[in-house]
Amino acid sequence: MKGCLFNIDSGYLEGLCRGFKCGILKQADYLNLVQCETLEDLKLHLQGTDYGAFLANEPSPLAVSTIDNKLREKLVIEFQHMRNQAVEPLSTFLDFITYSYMIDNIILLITGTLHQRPIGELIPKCHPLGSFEQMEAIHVASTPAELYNAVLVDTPLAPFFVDCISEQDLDEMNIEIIRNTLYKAYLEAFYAFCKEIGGTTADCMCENLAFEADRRAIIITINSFGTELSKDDRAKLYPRCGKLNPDGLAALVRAEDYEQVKAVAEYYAEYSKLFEGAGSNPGDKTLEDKFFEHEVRLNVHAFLQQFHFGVFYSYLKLKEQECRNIVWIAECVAQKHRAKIDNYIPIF
Amino acid sequence: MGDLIRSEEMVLCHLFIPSEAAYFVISELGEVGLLQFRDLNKNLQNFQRNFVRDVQMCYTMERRLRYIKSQVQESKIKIFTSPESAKARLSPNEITALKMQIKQAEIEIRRLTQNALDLKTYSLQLSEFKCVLQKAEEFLKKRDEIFGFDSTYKTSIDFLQVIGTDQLNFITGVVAKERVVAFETTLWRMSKGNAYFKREDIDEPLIDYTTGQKKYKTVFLVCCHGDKQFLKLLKLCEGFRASLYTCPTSHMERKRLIQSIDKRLDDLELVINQTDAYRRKFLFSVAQQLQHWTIMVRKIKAIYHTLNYMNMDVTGKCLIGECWVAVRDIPAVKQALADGSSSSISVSPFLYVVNTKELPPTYNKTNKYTKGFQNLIDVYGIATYREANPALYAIITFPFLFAVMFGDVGHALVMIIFALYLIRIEKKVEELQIRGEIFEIFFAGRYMILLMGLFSCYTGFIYNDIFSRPMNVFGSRWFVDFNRSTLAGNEDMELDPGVHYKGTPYVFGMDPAWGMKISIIIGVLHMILGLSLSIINYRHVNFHVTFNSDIRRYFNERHCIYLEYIPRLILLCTLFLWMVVMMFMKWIMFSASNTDVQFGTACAPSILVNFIDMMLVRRTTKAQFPGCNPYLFQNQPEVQMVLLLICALTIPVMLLGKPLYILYERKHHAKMSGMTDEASGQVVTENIEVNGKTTANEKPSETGSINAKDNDKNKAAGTDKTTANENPSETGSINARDNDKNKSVGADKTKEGTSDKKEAEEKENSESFGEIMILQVIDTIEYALGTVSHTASYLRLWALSLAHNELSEVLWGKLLSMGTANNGGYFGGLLMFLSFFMWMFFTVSILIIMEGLSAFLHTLRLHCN
Repeated sequence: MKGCLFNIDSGYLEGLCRGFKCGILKQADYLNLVQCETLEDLKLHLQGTDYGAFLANEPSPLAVSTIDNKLREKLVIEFQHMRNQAVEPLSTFLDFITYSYMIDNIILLITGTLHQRPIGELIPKCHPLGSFEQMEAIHVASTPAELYNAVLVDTPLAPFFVDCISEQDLDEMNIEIIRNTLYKAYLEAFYAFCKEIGGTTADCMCENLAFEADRRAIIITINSFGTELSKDDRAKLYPRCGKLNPDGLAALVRAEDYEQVKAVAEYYAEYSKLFEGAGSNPGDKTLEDKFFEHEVRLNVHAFLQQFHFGVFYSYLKLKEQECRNIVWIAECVAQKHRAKIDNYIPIF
Repeated sequence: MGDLIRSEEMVLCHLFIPSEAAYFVISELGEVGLLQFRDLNKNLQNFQRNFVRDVQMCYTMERRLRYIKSQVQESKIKIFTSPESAKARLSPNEITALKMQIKQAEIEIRRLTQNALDLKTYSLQLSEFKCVLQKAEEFLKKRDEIFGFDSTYKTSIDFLQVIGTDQLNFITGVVAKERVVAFETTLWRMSKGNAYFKREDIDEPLIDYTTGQKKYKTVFLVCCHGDKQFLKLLKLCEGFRASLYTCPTSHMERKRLIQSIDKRLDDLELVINQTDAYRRKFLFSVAQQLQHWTIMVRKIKAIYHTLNYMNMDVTGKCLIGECWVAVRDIPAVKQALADGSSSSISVSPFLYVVNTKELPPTYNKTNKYTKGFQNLIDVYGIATYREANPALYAIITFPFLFAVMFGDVGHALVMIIFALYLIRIEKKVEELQIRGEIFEIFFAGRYMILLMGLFSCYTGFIYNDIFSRPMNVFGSRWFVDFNRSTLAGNEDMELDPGVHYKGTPYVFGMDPAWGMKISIIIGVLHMILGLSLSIINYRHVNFHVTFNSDIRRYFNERHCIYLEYIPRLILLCTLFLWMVVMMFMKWIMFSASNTDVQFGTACAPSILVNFIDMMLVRRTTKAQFPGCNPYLFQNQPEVQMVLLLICALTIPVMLLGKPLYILYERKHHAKMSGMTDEASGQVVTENIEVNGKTTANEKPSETGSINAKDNDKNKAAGTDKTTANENPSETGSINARDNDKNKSVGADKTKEGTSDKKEAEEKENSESFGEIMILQVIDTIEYALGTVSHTASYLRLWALSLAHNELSEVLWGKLLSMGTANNGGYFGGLLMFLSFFMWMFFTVSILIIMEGLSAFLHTLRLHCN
């Protein structure tokens, strides 16, 4: 019954999305990609996959950035096609996904302006999924209040921004704080939205978003060591929709070095595993990679269930990971630096 | 016709080519097009092969050609096409020359395009500027209404000057129309309402030359106070991608500026025209070459791809390839080899035939007449090597079955004319290479359409239908002696064959006065036809099996005849042939002129009821009428019981016979080989042979064949679906069809269920035996269900022909007769004209095309069965 109702509006798109998912590169593809000697070889191999002739019109000395752009372009076209077909509540769900890119774009533009970069140079670096009409006018603003009043008030991000207006001016530190506050508000809103949808979507997405929230909390804590960010301020940045909430977060606030963060994670089975394998020695995987691996695992799980929106989110995330992988391999191939070429994160 | 019955005989050959001549030889062979190369480097990735650099070079050339083509098409220059194409026997130098030529052309075009773009962008800026100036003039004219305070100044003082002296700043520019609203709101917020904004749309769209699209833009004018705000707003303008133009402050200056811009625009247009003309000329010259280049590059690429399939000799001097070739084509291939190597010096390439146990590919030679039919058959599935090619009898049966459904002289004539037209323009079409998906489908089937038209014409005569009007050429042999009042009073009046029949049959075809009755008989006849067709089909295979011992091992062995064919035949005969026999018995035994009541028309038992009783093992005790026998003859129930029993017995034989036999054979075989070690390739089927060997190479081909089978099944399901989709377009007059559809869906499900269950059971046994068993189970169930559904399908033939008939009747009655009935002067004439037009339109569109297509699809389905 649930399937019937779901399929009326979103059955086609779910099918489409699962079809797209089948195009994600397999382990065998990665093994072949790793063997490539030049970027031309890479292109030739990618032609044999679902990517098809996406690089066919590029002139011969390929740059990694071209590959990166084309990969992203393809993903964006797919996503936007789905977005254009979607109806409520899926359309809002998909919009929610794009908000995170909007936050990234805003931060990118403000940081760029702070470093006196011309806007024309920054715009191409923005993620196309997160572009909005007033985006290019961001560099006009010099204070958060101005940013809010002039630019963001018309965008869907406006409600997330309310907490940031109090900041005095835009410097490096404040931009970081703005980013994290925005993200916190965004994740919590998205979490609430998924809960409201309920059903399998809630089961699946809340798992994903909880992990995302916890990851941010842990990363914020680790990055804040040795900066002037006070513990109270740090506490304000933690998204409160993860599994760490509330005890874990309270413990994180008190943490003063990496070991203490690790000790906090010990209490949570899935996170302690991530910390165990991670290290900064050569040959060890970084904590960041460990997080990515865990994320991939969660997203792959999303495809095990049917009739929910999680697949769209997971598809996008997996595809992004794939883009990162390909770009990583391409970089290694281009720079003839093959020692770390195996550090990609396989998906299937 | 020999090559139609069966596919060509194929041999596997090894090809040795000295590497210096390899390119030329492959080029020659490619022109001949008679070989199928096998990939000897399957384990290698694309980029690890020998000639990968050359292939990449081709990709680059193709990319350049694509760019050139897009530019040529953009300029609307026709690409020169010629039907014949040169051979791609280019020496390495020539290839390099071609590469350079293409590269030069690309660079030149890019340069010219860039130049033109620069000029056009400049002219765009000028015209935008001009618009700004003109609109600014308009804004300022209305200044009194806008600015109340402005009235204190003298009108002679220019407004903008005033602004300048008053520490007001102003910005003028152009912004894209779709962004203007967001621009205005943001601007208002930024300035906290302290800026004056005025905008006006430019009426005509301006062409953005970088994207080539037309864009509507808006001129705006912003006044603001203070330098800080001015700078901020400037930034904002940049953010919204507005192009800013400084507007002179005085009226006179603006006027002068407009004039000078006009002049510059004129000059610019001249230059642009010249550049365009030059560019066109260049593109035109390139367009002459383009097709030649494209074909060349494709051929070169294909040659290198083929070379990539080959192995390099240990010494590096020789390339070794493996290919399939038809036996009768070997001389032609050898000739091509000789041609290709004539230019080279060292060892000439040679072809040598290898013995292999692998199953060769199927290769059917076709000509333009048989090709359409062969394609149609291939849609369903390609026969295995040397198997009887169903395309042969499809040439006749396909149009015939089509005609049964479509029978109508008038509509058929239209089809014939269409087909003849296609055949007439055949040469021209091939020369011009007219492309179009739908057109190509029709064109490929032109001979088929002709045949279908002819056959439908014939059946149309039999049905006596022309544009759904009954024809009465020879006069009906039935007559009616009821008067009008009796007819009106008695609704279920029937023509009594004893009274109203003149005694001699109608000269040709069906008597026009008969209607539905004959149609039913036709339907039954077609069931018989279908049954006999499928029997012929089995016979066909078996005949060749016994006849041609050479190819015996490609087919199932003799035991299959006993264990598969005969049980199937029995199943078919006991159930369905029996039904047919009953029908004939009914016709012969019961007649209206018979005096015996027992065999009069009223007493004729219902075949359908009889048949259903037989299936349910039930006895009808009560007759329809007292004094009648519910059965055709005395001991019919007993005979039927026996038949049903036989039929039930065949199922286990079909199900278990073959696998058990194979199991037995294998045990036997193992014993034999343990003793003498020579019993290979005896009576065991291909399947086991492959399984017996454990070489890694052979394994994949085994699973491959199973997959292929699965695919076939899927495909069959696919065709089913298409027919199902076609159904709604019908008027839905046929319930039987829907039922049938449901039945088949249900059947599919049960099939899956049982096969799953079987699968679980068989897992305990050895794997290969389990596989054989599963295949057998699937085969058997498919067959048993198939017979039932085919019988229903042939009934559908009749139903469709009825539907066709009814539909055209409705059109005739509602449209044409309405038009012709009206005789009121000019208006009537007009109405008649219109109604005829509509009738013609509907006839052509609905009846001929739609019905034709649906009939086509059903015929296709029947043939697939």
